[in-house]
Amino acid sequence: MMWDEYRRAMDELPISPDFERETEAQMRVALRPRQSKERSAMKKRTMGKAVAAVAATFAFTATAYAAVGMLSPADVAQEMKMPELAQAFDEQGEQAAAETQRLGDYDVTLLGVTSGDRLSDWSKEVDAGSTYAVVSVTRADGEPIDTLEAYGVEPVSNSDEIQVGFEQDEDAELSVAEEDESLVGIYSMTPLVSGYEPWQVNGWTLGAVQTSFNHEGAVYYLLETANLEPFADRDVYLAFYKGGAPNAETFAIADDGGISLTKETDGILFKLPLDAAKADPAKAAELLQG
Amino acid sequence: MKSFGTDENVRSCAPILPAVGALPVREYVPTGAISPELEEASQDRVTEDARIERLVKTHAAMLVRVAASRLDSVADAEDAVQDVLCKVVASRIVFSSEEHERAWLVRAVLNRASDLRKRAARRNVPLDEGHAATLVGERDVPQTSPVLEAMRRLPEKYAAPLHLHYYEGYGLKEIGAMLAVPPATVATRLARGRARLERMLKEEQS
Repeated sequence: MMWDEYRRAMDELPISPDFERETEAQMRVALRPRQSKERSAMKKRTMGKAVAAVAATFAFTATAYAAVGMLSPADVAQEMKMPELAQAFDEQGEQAAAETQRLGDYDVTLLGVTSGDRLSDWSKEVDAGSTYAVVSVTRADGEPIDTLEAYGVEPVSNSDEIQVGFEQDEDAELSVAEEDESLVGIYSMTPLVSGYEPWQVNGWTLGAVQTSFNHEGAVYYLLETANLEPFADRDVYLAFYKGGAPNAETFAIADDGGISLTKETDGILFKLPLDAAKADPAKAAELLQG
Repeated sequence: MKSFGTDENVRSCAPILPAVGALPVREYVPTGAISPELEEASQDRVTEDARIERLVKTHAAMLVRVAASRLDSVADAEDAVQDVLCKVVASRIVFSSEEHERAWLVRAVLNRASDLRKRAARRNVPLDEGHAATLVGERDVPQTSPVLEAMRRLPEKYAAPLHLHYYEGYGLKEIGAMLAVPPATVATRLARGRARLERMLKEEQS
């Protein structure tokens, strides 16, 4: 009875008669032209044998990005078509310290983190309740990361356009590794919070989205996740590691709640530089219940 | 096979939904600042048009109802769905299967609806006033269904499985895949959600 009434109410929802047409129109506007690709000779380069984490750690400031030929967090946000986020990173400017850790054949750099309500002053585009982290991955030997290494795809035809995804033409002229051994394919990135089990509080449970692109031999990631500032009275980590959703084989918890990678896991942990003054345990609890 | 990106400049997007299969890939779309060579490929346009039509025909109405199970206004629900579908095509998010696509969209629309609710709350609008304020259009939902009203007051973790099960007819496994929780958890939430809903309706009647 109760559900009959619910179904009736749903059936009678006054959805706009032109909703579908209007939606299609908006989607077409949202669509941008594709870029033609330059062909480049690529050879397959698989991930080097896994080597345990941190061999070297160092820090540099935002002013150093240009010196080492890397994009800044603002550049990455701009490239992701998020100008307000780029502005947020620009605003941080000199204070935005970056940290690099060695992971096997790669240097993984946390380029910047920003979050919080102040983003909402600029635009609705940037969700006030989100944290954004920008990470770059480069080869430690200085060689560029090519598309095959980054994404497991190698163009082999005269065509410089490659169909992707769900509607992909089965006859598309591609060469794809049988098993995805690409950087993006085998490494995951997730926030973790000390005091909470990694399999309970992570990117999967915090609605995170990870976006990446390859630029001049470096792979840049932007992680969008629920606002982590309410957890700022704890250690909040960003893990970059080989594997999928966190589990007890990947992460270990110390008696004090601190989180580390198990010795079997190839990965690294960054401690995110969040402002402890923004901690809000009540909001954190609410976030986890939601 | 894992979905994959394109040439030298590739952007992948991994909405983190472990229970729904391979990660989708978002293709790199240049801004011009870094990769200035833009070219409009007519064949791609045809393909994208077909994809847009398919996405809308296949999912739009279902997604509006999912959003409307969380939002008081149908107009807001439509906006939430349009936001998500536009993001899918603008970011060129692609999916490994139809199931994956549906699961991702449901999850994204629920997240978007949740954002809209939180924004309303942040504006310090009391729930009842906020409700009244959004129910001023002729397309807004008539308040003739106490069940629907009560559903919207349930926490999302109960309301979403109830809607997907009792309106859309999905089973525990499918709902689990969409919401990224185990089927057993879906069953528990359905039972608790039903109990809460019945209690709320009973209290309203009394």
